Amino acid sequence: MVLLVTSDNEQFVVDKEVAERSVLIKNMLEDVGESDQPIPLPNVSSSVLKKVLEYCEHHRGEPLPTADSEQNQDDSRKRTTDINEWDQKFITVDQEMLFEIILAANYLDIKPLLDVGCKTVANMIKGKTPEEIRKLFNIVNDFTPEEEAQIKKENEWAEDR
Amino acid sequence: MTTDHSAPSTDSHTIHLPSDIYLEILKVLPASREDESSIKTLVSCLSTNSIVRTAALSPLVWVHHYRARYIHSIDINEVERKLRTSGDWRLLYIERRWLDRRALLLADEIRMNATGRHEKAREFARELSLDVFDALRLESRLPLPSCLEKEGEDIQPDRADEDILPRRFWAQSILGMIARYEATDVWERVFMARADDPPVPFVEALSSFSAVFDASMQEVKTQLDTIYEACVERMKRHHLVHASTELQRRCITLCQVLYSPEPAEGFGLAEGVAFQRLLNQFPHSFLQRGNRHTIPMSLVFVFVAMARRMGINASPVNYPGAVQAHVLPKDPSESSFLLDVASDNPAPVPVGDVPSGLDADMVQPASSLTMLMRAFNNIISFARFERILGPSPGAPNWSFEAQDSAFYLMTMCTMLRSQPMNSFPAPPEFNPLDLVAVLLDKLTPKLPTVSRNMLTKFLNDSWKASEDRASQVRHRDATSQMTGFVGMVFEHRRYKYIGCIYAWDPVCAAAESWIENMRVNQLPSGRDQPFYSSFSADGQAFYVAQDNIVPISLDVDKIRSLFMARKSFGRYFTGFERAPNKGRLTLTHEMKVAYPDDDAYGAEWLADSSENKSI
Repeated sequence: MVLLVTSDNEQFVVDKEVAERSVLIKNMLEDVGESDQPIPLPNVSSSVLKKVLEYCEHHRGEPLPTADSEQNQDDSRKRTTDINEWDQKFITVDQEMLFEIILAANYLDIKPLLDVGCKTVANMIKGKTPEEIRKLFNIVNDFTPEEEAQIKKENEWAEDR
Repeated sequence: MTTDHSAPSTDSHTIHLPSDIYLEILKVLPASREDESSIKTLVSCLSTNSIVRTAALSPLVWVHHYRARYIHSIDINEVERKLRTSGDWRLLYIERRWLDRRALLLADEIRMNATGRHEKAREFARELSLDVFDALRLESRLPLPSCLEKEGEDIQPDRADEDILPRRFWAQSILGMIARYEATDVWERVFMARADDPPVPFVEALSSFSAVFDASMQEVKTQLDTIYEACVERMKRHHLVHASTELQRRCITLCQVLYSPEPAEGFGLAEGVAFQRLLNQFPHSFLQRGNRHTIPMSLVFVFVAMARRMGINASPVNYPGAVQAHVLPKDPSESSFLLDVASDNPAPVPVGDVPSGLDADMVQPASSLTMLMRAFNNIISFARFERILGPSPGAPNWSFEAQDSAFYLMTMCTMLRSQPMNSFPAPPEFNPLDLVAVLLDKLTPKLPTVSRNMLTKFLNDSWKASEDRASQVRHRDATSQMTGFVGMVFEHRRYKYIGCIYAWDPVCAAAESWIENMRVNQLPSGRDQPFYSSFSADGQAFYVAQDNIVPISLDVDKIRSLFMARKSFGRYFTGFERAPNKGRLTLTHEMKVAYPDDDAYGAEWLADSSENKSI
């Protein structure tokens, strides 16, 4: 068993096999060796960790992605935004939680979960205008009018003929 | 929900993603050849804000979109482009898109102006060529107007779809012309081979045949690559010995993987009337799912293509009866063997053990020339069968059109073989851009002096005649008795086939010999009556006297069968228009210019209810 401590100081006791879906935790455990020391996760809150552990629990025992399969993913034909049914249901959360999960998956280094999150966001922005994308990501347009004109010119190739 | 995380509406959250996460998100936007929405998204992201833009500028998010869209290029241009854009897939993508735009504008010019098309076709062949093939292929596959797409449903045509069929037609005419321009070089290397030329591999040689059906060699290669991937996948799944050292075992395994699985996927020998189908000889067709039960030569083609991808030195053998495969082991101490890949249970036979009495060259790898000559014999015999058998039940989209393409191929290759010619190659009417760009510019210069001079003259005359025709405008003479019009669908009075009119002459304009042969003068109205150029629902072209034209009611199935029968449907017609019990095909811009009165005449005919009763 492994003891994880979240940013809001909640403690989670989880199977080693489940915790090791996170490459970050796996490496930490390898570094410290057998120990009962709690592992602090200062970048993850308890509500998010709960969600992430639910994912790790469901996928325990599956082979971890290797460098080889990562390469396969760059193969254009295998790249899709298809998400399997359980993951789809799992990731149906409000947008704030979705972004939290992505950030946590990135920090904890859980590649398949990061993928599910990113694919979900990719589906959300597909076909959207710049303004819609800004709203979705809660960001502002920081281009000067000159830059905007330049960018518009640069994107002319994509305009309908 | 009652927790702290309740109710953050989608636009009020406060989380900002770091730029490397934006990169991860943009990297998984799915690539698609047809669907532009991922590209549109990336373009949006470029102008969202500076952080998202940085992610969208990364070559990593563009590379798979590039590979999904572009499978063709002019090699030397592509090398230069890659040097110029130094690994930036976005810049490379943009360069190609600008080329695509130029190509589609030029295609529009060809579509809208009947004169000067051959000069523009030359520009395509010489300058743009394979660099714009993919853009043209996409244009040729624009989604069909809904009235033609959905089977069994009777949907009223939509005005907005008006340009779709002609755009598809001209894009395909151009890319087909480019494919044949490229294939002509392969035919030269096969049919005019000099002793010291490197031989043309069989797979390349037979792939070139599909050019007359507008498929490029690269497209056939891509089909083969996809099949190979599936083979490797299947071998893995069934733990079959992909890398076994035993060569004969590997070859048998390959056959099993190719032939056994799901019916649509697997290859096999065609049975019954399905054997004698012309398209069994053409790779783009027999490699397609659902067409994979075919003739032995084609099975050997697939076997050889797969085996060579596995590093096995396989070749076709011109064996009596059915073509077989020859396998040459790397180790010179092992003996070569033959494999009858068309049999249910292929068993390797060492070359030394084949029955005596066979010529030595019947058990050795055959040259591509030998195999293609055998293919020509097949074509002639299959065409004869199809003439007798007519549409085969297993092939719903069967058309006589394929014969026109196959014979066009054979006349071109026969010219290159310098055989005594009975006829000059003439492109079928649905390949309207081949005359100058393929035949005059590409094929003719390869010929020996005498035939070159003769063909040059013939083609230049044809070119002039075609330009003359293109500038002709045909007004209807108010005093004439002409009742047919471009866009009319009819039944032949005697032969009962269904056809549609795409051109006419006020009186018979055929050659004197044709008039004699067809006994035109014995028709009730003789030769001085309107004659109509038409094609039938099984894809044959006819020149019909008005006496034999019987207008018929038009339902959507008839329109679909005419559309499927002949590629040039889209050159002449944009769709259809219906009134109760009758209908007419609506004219493309080109037809409206060439026959300025026919559109109005047809519309009036459709609206006239007294005609209604006569049908």
